[in-house]
Amino acid sequence: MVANPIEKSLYLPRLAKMTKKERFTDKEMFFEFRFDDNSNLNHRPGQFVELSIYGIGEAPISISSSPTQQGYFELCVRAVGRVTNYLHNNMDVGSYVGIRGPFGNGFPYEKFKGHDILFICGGLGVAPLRSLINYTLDKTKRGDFGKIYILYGCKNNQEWLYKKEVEEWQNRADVETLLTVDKCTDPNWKGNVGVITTLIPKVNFDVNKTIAVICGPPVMYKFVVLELKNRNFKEENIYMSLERKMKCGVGKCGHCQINNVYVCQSGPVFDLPTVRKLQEAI
Amino acid sequence: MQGYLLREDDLKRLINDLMKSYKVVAPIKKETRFDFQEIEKFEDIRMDYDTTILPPKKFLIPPVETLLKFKRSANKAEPVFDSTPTVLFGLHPCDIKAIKHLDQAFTENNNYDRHYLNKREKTLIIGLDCHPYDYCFCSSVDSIFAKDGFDIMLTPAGDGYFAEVGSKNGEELMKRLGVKSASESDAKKAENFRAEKEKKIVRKFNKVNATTVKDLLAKSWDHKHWKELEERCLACGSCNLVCPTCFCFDVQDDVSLNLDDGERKRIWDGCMLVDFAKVGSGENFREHRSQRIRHRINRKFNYLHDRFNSPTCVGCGRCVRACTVKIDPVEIVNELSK
Repeated sequence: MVANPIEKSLYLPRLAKMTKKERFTDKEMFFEFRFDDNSNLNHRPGQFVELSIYGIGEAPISISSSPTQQGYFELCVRAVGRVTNYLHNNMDVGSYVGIRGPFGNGFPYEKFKGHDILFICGGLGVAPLRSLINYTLDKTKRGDFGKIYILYGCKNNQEWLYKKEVEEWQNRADVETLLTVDKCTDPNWKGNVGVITTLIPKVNFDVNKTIAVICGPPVMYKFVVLELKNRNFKEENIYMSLERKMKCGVGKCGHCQINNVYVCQSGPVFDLPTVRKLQEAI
Repeated sequence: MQGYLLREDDLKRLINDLMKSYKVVAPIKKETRFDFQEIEKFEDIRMDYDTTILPPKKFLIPPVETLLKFKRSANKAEPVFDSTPTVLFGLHPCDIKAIKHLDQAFTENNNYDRHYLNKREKTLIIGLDCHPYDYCFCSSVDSIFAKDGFDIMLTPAGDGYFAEVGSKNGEELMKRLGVKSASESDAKKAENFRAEKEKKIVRKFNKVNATTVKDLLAKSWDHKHWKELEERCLACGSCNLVCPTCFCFDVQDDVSLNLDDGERKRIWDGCMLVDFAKVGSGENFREHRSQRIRHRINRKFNYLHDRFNSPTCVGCGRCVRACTVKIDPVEIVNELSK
């Protein structure tokens, strides 16, 4: 056995202060957190944290801000369980939460350099992808990447997350942003109506130099992959971030296991050839 | 084979000596079965036990273990570690190998779990070679004999025990006890005991072995047997509870009556339980019992093999005995290899 000299618990969080809280939808809220010593989270786009509230519990949440944003980090949280509901309803700016991480591999953005990137975001899947989107759009990084396409779909017009920012993406000349709603609930909506895959034929990307990055509800992946394959997308150029129950984040508790991998260790980002070998993945 | 010879009274002196500075855990009789418990006196120990209800993992990963103590009003938490010096006495080779896998699990990926390791590093393991019982299948999963992972390994040899030393701590124990080296004839008796034991293990994989069973599982993903098992399995999780290498856990917060002080605890969890792979959105990645059985059996024979270099099932047979409907890994493997 290898001795670890540090008497350190893998499960002890450090405290972060909530510095912004904003409602996006009925179920989703936006939060900004800072550590008291102003240190950075030092994450990669695509990684996640374990957010905990003493006495309530702990939950894995994907990091939504780009690491180029220094001194703070942002999360977009859907209220679905005890921790997330408590965060929404009982905590305000100035409250402290526990943070462990960042965990997971994140996107291999070094490999994406020089490529065009096609982001395909379904619902809350925009939260982790926003980290990479804003990384690639950062003025210090923008030159590393080619064209940026953002496809973003929601169930209906009430469900948009990061609405203002999405408008900014739409207004940028160097980004092609296409939006869709599964079901139109706004009479003034002039955009696409239909599931996210209906946007793919509308984009004129070059399969030889484009990387696709996907995140959305579990049901979405197969159909998006199928549509990309129809456009002759190379499998090794398709990346996806998978949702699982990352209870511990440190490869011990077993909940996030898919076949022989722990998603919290080897993922949550996988390329399609890897996903093909994991039989329960999508 | 090098070692020492321990008579019954040597064993008694050893245990009494250890009890002065260690919590000594050993197999004792519990109603109609046996169980690992902290003993009060040497005479409690049952050297003739078949297997215990629960494996010794419960002393390294307690069913409920406090990880942190916190005070909500102060937003403060402190980790809790237990490093009580403990002797796990009388472990059969299967349980010794299981602890080796727990060591791997709690140190892999460079994530050293000090809640486990602080206990583990203060633990001495004294093994005892066994009399097989109805459910054993250790010879199929390479855990019939303990090659390492112990401080002392005892094997019945005539009216005494042949004691093999597996560590510096074990060597010191034997020196302090002042017992004489075993003779060649004592070693021979121990070897005979092991040879006889091997003959008594009758439950076996028909067509695969400890190395090839993972390949069988890898190609049996769509086998119809998983569906057949779904019809029988009650998804009660008993197999997880009694398994010496099931280490998955849930984490829960427990607040005291003042609603301010509390503890974050890890609690045994099981991949056979319906919510194990369910996420916040409601999606359940292994909703069906057939998927969960397939996951569990793969985890024991296939998934962890790459990382742990061995099946993590150690063939103790506890899951078969605990299962209400007698779902049996040996039968499953043999059915898949038909």
